[in-house]
Amino acid sequence: MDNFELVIIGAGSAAMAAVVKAGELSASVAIVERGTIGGTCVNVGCVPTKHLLRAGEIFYYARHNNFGSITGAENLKLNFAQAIEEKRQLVAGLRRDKYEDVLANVPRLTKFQGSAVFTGPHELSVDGTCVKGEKFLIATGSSPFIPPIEGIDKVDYLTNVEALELEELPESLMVLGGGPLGLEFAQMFSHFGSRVCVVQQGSQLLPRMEPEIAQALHRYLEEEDIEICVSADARAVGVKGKEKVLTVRVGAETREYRGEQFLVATGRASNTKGLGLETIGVELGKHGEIVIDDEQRTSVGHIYAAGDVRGEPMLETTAAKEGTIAAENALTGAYRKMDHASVPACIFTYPQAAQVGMTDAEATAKGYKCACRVLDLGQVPKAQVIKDTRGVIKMVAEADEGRILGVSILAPEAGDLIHEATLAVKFKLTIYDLIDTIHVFPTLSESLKLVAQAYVKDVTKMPCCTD
Amino acid sequence: MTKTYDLAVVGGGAAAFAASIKAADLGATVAMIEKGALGGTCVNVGCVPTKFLLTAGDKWYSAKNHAVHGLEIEPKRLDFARLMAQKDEMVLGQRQAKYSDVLDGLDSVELIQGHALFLSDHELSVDGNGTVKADKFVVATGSSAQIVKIQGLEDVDYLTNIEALELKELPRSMIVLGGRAVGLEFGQIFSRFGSRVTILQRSERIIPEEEPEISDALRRYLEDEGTSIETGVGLESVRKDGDDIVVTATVGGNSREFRAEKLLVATGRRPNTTELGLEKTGVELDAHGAIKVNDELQTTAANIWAAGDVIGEPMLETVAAKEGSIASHNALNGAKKKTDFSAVPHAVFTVPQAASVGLTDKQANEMGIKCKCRTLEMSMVPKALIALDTRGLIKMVTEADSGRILGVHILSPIASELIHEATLAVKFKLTIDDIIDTVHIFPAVSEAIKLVAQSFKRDIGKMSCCIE
Repeated sequence: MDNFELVIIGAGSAAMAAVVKAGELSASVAIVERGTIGGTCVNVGCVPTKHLLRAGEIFYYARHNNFGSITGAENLKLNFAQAIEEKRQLVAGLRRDKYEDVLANVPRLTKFQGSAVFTGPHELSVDGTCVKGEKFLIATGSSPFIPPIEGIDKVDYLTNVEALELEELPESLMVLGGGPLGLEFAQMFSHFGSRVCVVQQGSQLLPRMEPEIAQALHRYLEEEDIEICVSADARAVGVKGKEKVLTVRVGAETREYRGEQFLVATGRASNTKGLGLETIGVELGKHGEIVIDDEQRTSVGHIYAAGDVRGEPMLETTAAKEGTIAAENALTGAYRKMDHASVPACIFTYPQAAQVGMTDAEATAKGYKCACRVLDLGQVPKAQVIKDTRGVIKMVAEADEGRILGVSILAPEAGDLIHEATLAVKFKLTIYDLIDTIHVFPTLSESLKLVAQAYVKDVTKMPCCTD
Repeated sequence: MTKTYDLAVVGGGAAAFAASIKAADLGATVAMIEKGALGGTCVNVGCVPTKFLLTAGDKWYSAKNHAVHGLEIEPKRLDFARLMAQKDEMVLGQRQAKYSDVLDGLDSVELIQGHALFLSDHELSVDGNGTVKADKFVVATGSSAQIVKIQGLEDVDYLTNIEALELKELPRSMIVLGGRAVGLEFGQIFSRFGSRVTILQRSERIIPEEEPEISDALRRYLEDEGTSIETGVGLESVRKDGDDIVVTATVGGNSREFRAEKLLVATGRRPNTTELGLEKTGVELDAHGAIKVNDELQTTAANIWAAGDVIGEPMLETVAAKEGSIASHNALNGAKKKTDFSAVPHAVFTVPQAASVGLTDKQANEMGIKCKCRTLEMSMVPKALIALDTRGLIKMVTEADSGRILGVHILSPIASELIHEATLAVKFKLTIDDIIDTVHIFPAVSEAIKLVAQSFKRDIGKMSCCIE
């Protein structure tokens, strides 16, 4: 029987990156996948959601633009079923190009279909077939976390998976959870025309983001008629007629929220159950995630983990990089480390909320003496020019030298703008470096230069483009 | 009556404002002499109103022309006069906030409205009445539309950027002379609102200084939208014929006639150096009429500096502002600051936008640099597929041995934003390995920069999403 140099469990972005790296290193590699190739991102995550968000933006903002001279789109029609079908085609195409065809080009790769269970430190059973390996990589990803609310097992709730496969646009949608996933789905359906409410346990939407960003986005979503309830403790859920009814406690008050559909978006849980990890001694954290060291190694020396399975942050991009690093470390003993300090992240609402490096609170907690500046996008000429001044940028810098520690942006293209900030954080640039860098006029990227300038002058009293 | 200042700034645009603010910061007394509206070309008849109209045109056009199957869009209305009125309001607001109010807040800067004429190296008159004396001067009088010489042109009512922005009715048709930034932006604005537009370009390519891949692709996209583009055009004559203007030109050896309601001349900009009395000073001009300066922006007259479009290419608002600040700093305290424009990004704001920073392939070769380039179609970027708009490409120019990034050129709907990541890469001498090692958001168009860097090392067609 084959004894593979590396056995990879999972077929999402971490696993795929590991397969490609193993292929480059000419290793003999096995991949074990029980479901569809491509994992969450391409099938039920970033790809289909960003596609449908874009469709929603076109549909909604064609009717709600700030150009008084362009009118008459009231009769715009949405064929929801067709939009979902188009989404399926996009997913199938990307899955084929970016995953299936890529796998077909990896030499010395053996594929196993089925559920993997460790039967010993160096062997798996895949639906009864034994697979042996020298090194292992667990990249089984994550699934929706369903909170234990009374009655939840008796209602037909949606997760991201089902929400992307609805055949009809719901008249109303109730979303439990005000994190990235909850807000993206809330706005997507709201843009399509559903009446949407969001119920969030914490006092702030997007609790890991800067409060200025979260509060501004909260306001914009409410202005688009999304009902938002924060500091809400979900107590029970049931069905009344065609609607699901959620009972929540807000302070001393009890409230009821209703929706034709009910989306549970209360976080993700690492897929570590049923893998037989307990039999071989792989240590898990308190949320069931695999504990790893900074070289992606688990508590069992020849077993590595990468991606969502090892807990937060759960991002496709990080997963891919970790998969590469894990495969390289496993196969060559390279001792590469994952640098999480300059990984940008983005929530694809409109406007988008993106962030890189440390927030104000994180920098303070780490003992940095830091100085922060916040700038309204209304101060950026491009925002005035395009008649959309929604948004805010916040910069966190080390107080003495002005080194940029973190940047958060709420803006229409924040997911792209954040990359300039990412280079600034990764390559330890200062506010003076950004001030000295000429920016194209008029662009939203100027907000980065302007917020850096806000450390040294009053930018509201400044003409365009001045240093 | 004569007043004496530490610094007199001639002009009231981006360079002049930056110069005055820097001077005020340094504690100097300043006279700013402007004959027209404050803010110069950019806010009044340049970047600001054109980008506004391009945004409006994009909303109008893309609502009708998008690739999402589930959306059926009914015909819509465009109120051109109302749009132009909104443009005027926006310009007024920006001019007030970014220029007039700023000036009001600068106590040591005095605005003198009128036409400045140098009498000597140390004195100028304003509108013939009263003179202004200053120790130092910064000339920042900007540029105007350069009118190409063609037989009959003076006898027709042609438009420049200024008049095109004042139209109250949408023309049925328009001929645009010039296929560079200004010509293409106006061409697309009017084409998208519904005018039939023909662009006539003398060179063999539109935007000839940009990478040929970008020029060719942009031409194709504009033509796909219904704009006619002719290149290698030899203009012969212009005449009026009824309600139309007729341009006669040779194209590919044949003489042809082009006919339209309006004619827009966008054949470049010329520095505003006439009628300033510069001949009374030691200031010399170059062959294009631009003021000659050294790398500290000092003219050939020891106490006169110059900044912005008046010193010639590149004529960019952003560069002008930086130059104004440097000129003023050097003039007032001998700071000897030098201009460094090796990492100046610029963009043509068509849809898609063409943005560029650093060296082109051709420039690197001419400088004798051993370079290596890669080009990537935007259709290789997942976000483009997801957003159903795969138009565009990216080209990266690197130093062959070290992998240092020398230039990046992008054609994308948001190229003007994407270029800033590349600008930091060029300015701070990063390599393709640095960019590859930087995690990018998935899915973002910015991934194009990482992917093109990766394409130096591997076949990215055989790569799954997000991998290193």
